[in-house]
Parts: sequence; C-alpha cells; structure tokens
Amino acid sequence: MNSSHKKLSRSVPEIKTGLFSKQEGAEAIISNIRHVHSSLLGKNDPCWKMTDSKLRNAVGSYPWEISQLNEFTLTHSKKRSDCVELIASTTQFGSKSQNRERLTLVMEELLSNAFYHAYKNQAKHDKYERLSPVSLEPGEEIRVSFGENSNGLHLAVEDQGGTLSFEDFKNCFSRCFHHTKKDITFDKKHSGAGLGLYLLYEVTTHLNIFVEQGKKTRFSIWLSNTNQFDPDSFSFNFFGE
Amino acid sequence: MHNDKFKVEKVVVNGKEEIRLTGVIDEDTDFGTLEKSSGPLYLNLSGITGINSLGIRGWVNFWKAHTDKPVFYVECPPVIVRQMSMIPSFCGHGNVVSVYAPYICNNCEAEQLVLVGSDELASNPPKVTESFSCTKCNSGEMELDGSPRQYFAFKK
Repeated sequence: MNSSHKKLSRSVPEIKTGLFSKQEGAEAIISNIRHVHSSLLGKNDPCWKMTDSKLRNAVGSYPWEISQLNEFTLTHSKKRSDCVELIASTTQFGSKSQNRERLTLVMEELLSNAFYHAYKNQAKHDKYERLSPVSLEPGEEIRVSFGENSNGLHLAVEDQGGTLSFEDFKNCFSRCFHHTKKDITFDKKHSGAGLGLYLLYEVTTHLNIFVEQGKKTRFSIWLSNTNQFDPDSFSFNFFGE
Repeated sequence: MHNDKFKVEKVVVNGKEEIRLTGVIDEDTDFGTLEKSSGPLYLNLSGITGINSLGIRGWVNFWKAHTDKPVFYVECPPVIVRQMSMIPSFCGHGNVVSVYAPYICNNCEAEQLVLVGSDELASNPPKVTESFSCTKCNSGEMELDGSPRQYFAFKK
C-alpha cells in the first residue's frame, strides 16, 4: 500500500492518492480531504490527472464522463421509480440484474436527496417533508442525465438548490460511517440523508459532487459493470465551498 | 398503514417454520409482525427485491431493539448481502445461514443465482464454486459476477 496526503497550497484542498481501501478513503474524507483517488497508477491515473487539472481551473471532462448523454427533468417525487425504469430499459447496463439493483439504489438515494434535502425554506430547514409526495415549484426542477459504454454507466443528477456544503456532507458521512460499526443505533433525525450519501460512496466507482452555493448541486457518478468492477480503483471529489 | 410493497408470511420448509419476507424494504415498512413471533426466527429473505437507506435504518433499529430474539437469515439475495457487506451493523445479532451468489456467463451473459449454504460459509473466504458450464448457451462458463472479496465482505 502506498498512499500520500499532501497539501498543495492554502487555496487548493488536500488530496489523497495511492492505492487504498474504500474504508481508508472514507477516513480521509472524514479528516477533511475532498479529493480521494485510489488506483494502482497513483498520480498517473487519468481520473486523478483530471482532478488535478480541475484544481488548476482547467476545463475538461473525466474519462468516465460520456459525451453522448440522454437527459430529462423531474418535478414530481412519485416519478422516481419511472426514472429508474427508463434508464434500466434503455441501456445495456440495465439488462443485468446486479447492475439494475445498484442503479435502483443509487437513483433512489440521489433523487430523494435532491427532492427532500436540496431545497430549503426561509428558516434554512428542508422545504419538503421526507415522507410526503412532492411537486417542486417552478425553478426547482431536477435534471437527470445518463450515458454508457461497455465498461459501465455514467449518471448525473442536478438540483437547483445548491445548499450542500462540504462541512454538511462530511458531518453526515462521518455520522453514518461510524454508525455502520456494530452496536450503534441510527438516530431517526439524521441518518436518512447521511446513510444515503454513505451508500453512494460505497456503491459507485467514481463519485463527484459539484456545488455552486445557492445555484446548483450536481452529483456525477460512474457505476462500473459488476463483472468489470475493481474495488481498489475508485475516486471521490467534492468541488465547492 | 397498509403497505403493498412488503409482505410477511409464515411458510414451512422441510418441516421447519420460516418467516418469508417479500418485496421492498423502505420508509413504509413495518416490522411489527415480527415482534409477535416467539422463539428463534428463521427469516427467509429470498423474496426481498430492494432496500433503501430509510429501510436500512428501520431494519437496523428494529433488530437493535430486539436483541433477545434469536434470528437466522436464510437464502439472503444479493440485494441483502451487499448491505451486510457495506454496513456491518445490518446483521445485528443475527446469524447468516445461507446466501445467494450471483453468477454470469462469460459468453451469453445469462444470469444465475447459486445458493451458498452454511457449510461453505463456515470457512473464510467462503468455499464457492469458481465457475461452471452455462446450461443456456452450452459454450460459456458461469463466473461469480463481481469481486468475491467485496461480495463476501460481511464474513470479516
């Protein structure tokens, strides 16, 4: 195992590269590291090179971000399962039951997060109640895009709330990371969103979160085909405040 | 509240009583029926088709509140095995009796679930069949779909 923590400069967040487990990656995120890349190739990994470029304000896409995307928008929470059905039925990826199962979990968590936690009221609390069906107001739509190649599926879910901060993410993630250990009860107030974020991290090969405060939050993920899945190769990035 | 996404029923398998859970475990799932059963619970989970984060929370909290009830998980499908591997507290005080492992043909991509019983699960890593001939195309090999290390991580 070869891993390194480095602080590039005061303006560039800390990073972790090398070859390590998802658990070690999670511990790094909890300790405030926003860019976690595990790969045998270390800093020669194409995903890391893209992150490095983005941190230097270069424009470009990750190797796993498909250029030909299908897109649609969503305003009713009851349509969540239709989304999964649409993606599963129009992609090769969705024809495998193990892939479909992961797709269902990931979409449920991403869309629930967008519907119930992205939009806040004046008191800065969640605007919509978790267990109620929701119709978003004008200007609050959720955009979904997806595309695939023979190695897997790229998905992106974007809300117009832009309310997620790294501090919030880290706190939710940390709480659930520790709750997954034995003998701890999930508290009802918090663990819905937090556990969903933790599951996303565990299930995806690449997880990128882009936040423009008050404008939008975009989750961009890559799900590898199960038979090509390499548990030692993964990345996490949080871009934003 | 009526929930048509989730069902609990008693079945008898080889003379032994099991409780079969079917459907999706989510925020609407009520585990109350399980409270009424006395003695060890043999939960057959083969009919579970999905679970989300709120379902996981309800499941973990339910078993945490019922540690006095011996529980055995039987025929766990991949959707449950993955939760067991990602979230150690998912199993609570329960014992895993058998799980399904997903196989896929390297030629025609046919899928098949293979039951891994308590004898195979007793060793770590579990002794599972590496590959076997595909009966659908008769020319490919069925292989475990995914990383065995990852899939059986709950055995740690």
